[in-house]
Amino acid sequence: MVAGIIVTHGRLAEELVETAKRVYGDFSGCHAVTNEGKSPPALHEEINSIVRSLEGERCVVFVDFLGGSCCHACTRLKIERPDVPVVAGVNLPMLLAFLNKRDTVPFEHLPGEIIDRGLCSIQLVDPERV
Amino acid sequence: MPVSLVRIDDRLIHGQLVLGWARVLKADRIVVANDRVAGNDWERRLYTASVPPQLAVSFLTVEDAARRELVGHSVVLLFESVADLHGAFEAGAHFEEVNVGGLHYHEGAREVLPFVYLSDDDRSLLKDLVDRGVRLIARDIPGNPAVDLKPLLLHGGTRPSGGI
Repeated sequence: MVAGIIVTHGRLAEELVETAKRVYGDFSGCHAVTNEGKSPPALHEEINSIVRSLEGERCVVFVDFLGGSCCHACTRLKIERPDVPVVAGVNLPMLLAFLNKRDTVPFEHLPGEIIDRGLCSIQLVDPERV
Repeated sequence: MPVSLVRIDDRLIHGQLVLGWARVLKADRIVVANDRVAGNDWERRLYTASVPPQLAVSFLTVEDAARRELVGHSVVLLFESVADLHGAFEAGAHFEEVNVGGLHYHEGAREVLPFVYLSDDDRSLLKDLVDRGVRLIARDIPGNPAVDLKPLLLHGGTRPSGGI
């Protein structure tokens, strides 16, 4: 199984995981990480230690937005672990797409499919086009 | 003096700074005063990518930042640590007020506020700045209460919980 690591400000990561369970049903293998109260080295180490604990199991890292301290920590991870894809701008449809596709879509295509789903999910809602 | 905000924040440029402070202060330049980042092309690119195009970013060593005339109408000057801020004063800079925006747990540090942890060395350097007349104001983002650090430094204690 491909693991997910979701890194955000505040309680967003935890709540994304909890909310996804209400839609998708129970699942495992997703780690929620907050930057709250953590120095950059502490946050970086926490993410790194989760990746290490997977012992070679593949994972996708999600981060809330480009340019924040969460994303900085994930960018540093990327230097040490170029094999770990990091996707910024996580939203609920992206997490659901990840859960839905992680066991079926080839790993190298997984980040692209998640991003496509996230982009497609952002639209002006139009009753004429439902 | 174009400096609108002098801030210590171990995260340097991040969301609170760009979306919180730089927006409210209508900053047109962020100056990062940090020897490591000034000498590291990759880190400079990382932080530059965090900033919208209308904001200029400069990376200087602590000593350069203390000595050079900073260019801009509203400049945010950032230090990563108490030691760097104190180093700027030692190199000749003087600031009336410093915003303590984020010093998270580091070795030997104790909690003063949820976003401010200080080691004994940090405390003695900050006390030295207070003795030079500097106001140390802890505040993470503009809308939150400003906390004067001076009494907390003098009494060596932790602020009672629930106050911020």
